[in-house]
Amino acid sequence: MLSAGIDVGSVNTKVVIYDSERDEMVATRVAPTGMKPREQAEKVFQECCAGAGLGAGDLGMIVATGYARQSAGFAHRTVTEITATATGIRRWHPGCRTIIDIGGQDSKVILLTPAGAVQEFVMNDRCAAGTGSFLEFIARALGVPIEKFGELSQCSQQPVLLSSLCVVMAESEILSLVAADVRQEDIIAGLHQALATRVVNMARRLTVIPDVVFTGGTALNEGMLVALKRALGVEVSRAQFPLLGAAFGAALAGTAV
Amino acid sequence: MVIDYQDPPARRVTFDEWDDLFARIPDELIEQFHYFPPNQEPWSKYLFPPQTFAIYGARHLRRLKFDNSLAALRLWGFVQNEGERLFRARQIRRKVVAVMGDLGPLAVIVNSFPGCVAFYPDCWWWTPFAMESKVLLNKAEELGMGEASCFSRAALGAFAKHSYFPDPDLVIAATGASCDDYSAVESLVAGRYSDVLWVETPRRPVNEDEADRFEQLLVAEYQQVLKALADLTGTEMTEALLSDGIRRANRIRQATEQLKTLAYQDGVLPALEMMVVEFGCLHYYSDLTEWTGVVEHLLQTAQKRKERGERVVPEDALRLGWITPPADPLLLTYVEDRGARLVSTEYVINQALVLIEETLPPLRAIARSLLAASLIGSSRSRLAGFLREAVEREAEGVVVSGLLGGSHCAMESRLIADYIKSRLSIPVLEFDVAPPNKAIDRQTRTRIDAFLELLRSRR
Repeated sequence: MLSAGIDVGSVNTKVVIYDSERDEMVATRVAPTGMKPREQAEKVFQECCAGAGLGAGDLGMIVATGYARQSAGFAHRTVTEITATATGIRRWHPGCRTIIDIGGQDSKVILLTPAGAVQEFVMNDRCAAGTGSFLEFIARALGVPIEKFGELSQCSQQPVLLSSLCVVMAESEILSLVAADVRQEDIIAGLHQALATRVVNMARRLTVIPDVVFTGGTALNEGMLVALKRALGVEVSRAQFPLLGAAFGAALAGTAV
Repeated sequence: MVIDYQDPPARRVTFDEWDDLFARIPDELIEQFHYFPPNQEPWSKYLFPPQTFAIYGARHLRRLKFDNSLAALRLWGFVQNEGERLFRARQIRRKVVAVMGDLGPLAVIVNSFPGCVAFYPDCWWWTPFAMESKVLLNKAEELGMGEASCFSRAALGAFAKHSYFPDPDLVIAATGASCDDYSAVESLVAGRYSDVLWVETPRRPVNEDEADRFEQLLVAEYQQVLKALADLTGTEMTEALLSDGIRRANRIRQATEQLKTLAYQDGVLPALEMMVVEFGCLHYYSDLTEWTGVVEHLLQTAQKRKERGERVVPEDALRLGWITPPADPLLLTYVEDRGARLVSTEYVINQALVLIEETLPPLRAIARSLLAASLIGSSRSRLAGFLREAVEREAEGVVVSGLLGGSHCAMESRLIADYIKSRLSIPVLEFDVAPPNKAIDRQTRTRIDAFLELLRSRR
């Protein structure tokens, strides 16, 4: 049976088509969500199906997830990204008990039961501090592509200590550091440390149990992975497909019905 | 006069459906409901089509779902009418007394004086949420209380506007062991708008000796209140009048307790109406006698529903406890829409819900009721009653909704969440709630949806 999971996130829309008999993802697609999530969800879904030579009729179940999950009106059902991420990541990483998910607008820590169900979760508060958009905002302020952050932070010799993670105040502070000729590498590494500390403080509201898996778009940033390991003091692995965990979990949820 | 009207089978209805229901109620029945009874003047009718609430600004109500009984219509009509009622009280020469900060006991004293109407400006915190307007919050911000403080700052905005309630004849403000944000509201009111009679509130006693001393302290404070009210009204308070005031307050508290049991155990009334009922124990929406009628009408409706086996929420709905009232009432509608129901609540007003002992000297009994207040002691003591009900009614999860900016929420919510987890071993969702917008924000929706998914997966 084929099922589709569509994760309409704040930054990207992700689609996974999953074949439960072969237990494999047969097609995936990732594209920016933009300002029209309803249209984009349909478009990205159609493109994914077309790329795999499939029509909507070939799919047994379509499950939507993500912050704009209600926008995917063509889906048969919806599930929150917390449940979907837990399902997807656990399938890829059977030993996983703790998931750290830093996405565009949210960061979440999800604790799983030994059987893989959601036991508890925490999310960031309403402001952007502690999310991927924080890094993107600062990347724009620094004029450095976000994709370079991981590599640059690895060259840091003396990460700066930021006094605030408020996006607005951090921007002001960073501009002062730039004016004081502080190296970009040290600023970026400092940012990673500050963000990691914030997320780890949130994680400690739960009991962090290994294996810990890092997912979400920010998990593609090697510097963040290193900073998280350091702040948490335990091994942290990157999810097999950091962008696709929730969409994959939604597709799996489609096979369970 | 016997008027033939029977409620439709119990269910929650949308605002538009609710308006249609109103049209079916006979005019003669509508005519029966007046505030300030036994007054029957035409100006005191308060049962109007729900659409009227939206026309006069309570636009947020259009997003909620309501109980479809006549008693619930009566409840909402009465609550929405409070501002008018207070101005009318002034016109008919009643003394309008603002009581602030203690959430319950002072209103019992004031209402014991014939011709006095007590109201809590604190309760104007509710206004921005029904009105879909930030005018009171913005006004408070102008005066120095911005987003970093609790929504109760709306009361400051209301004092500044001089148009939400008449300028009170007397303002009595409880301070001391109470909400920090609200103490700031009181200070600003005292500094800008009115003389204030201050009442010191002690913390919760930890032993009998302290209880005795604190009760005596409160009795002395309340005697100052009696003197001020006697000066205002020209009436000397007697023990008989005070005892009668206590009995009338207890009548409402008892009815409310019965309603809570019926609603939270048997699912016969929605959580939204129940929150409004619980808050009614603070100040009776400025009319104790008619509020008694409203609550007892609801109680009869609830009892009939139980007898008939009618419910407004399914029996197999997820059973939730809820701590601290949600700043956006839409959340209560939302969780019921998503297949959950409330079984236990702690809305920070325990002192307004406990029965006042009728065998003690009256002032001492009122003082003792204040020492049961939610916010004057530890979180553990605050939660004792809540936990008992949550266990009895087999709550499957608990929501702790903080008021964004509320200092006690910022400090206490996580403590409460951890304590409940340790005591009940059930999941707890803790988050801050912002004032209503056009819809529930996506992050809040995700939190609630995921929490309900989690609870469902545990069944």
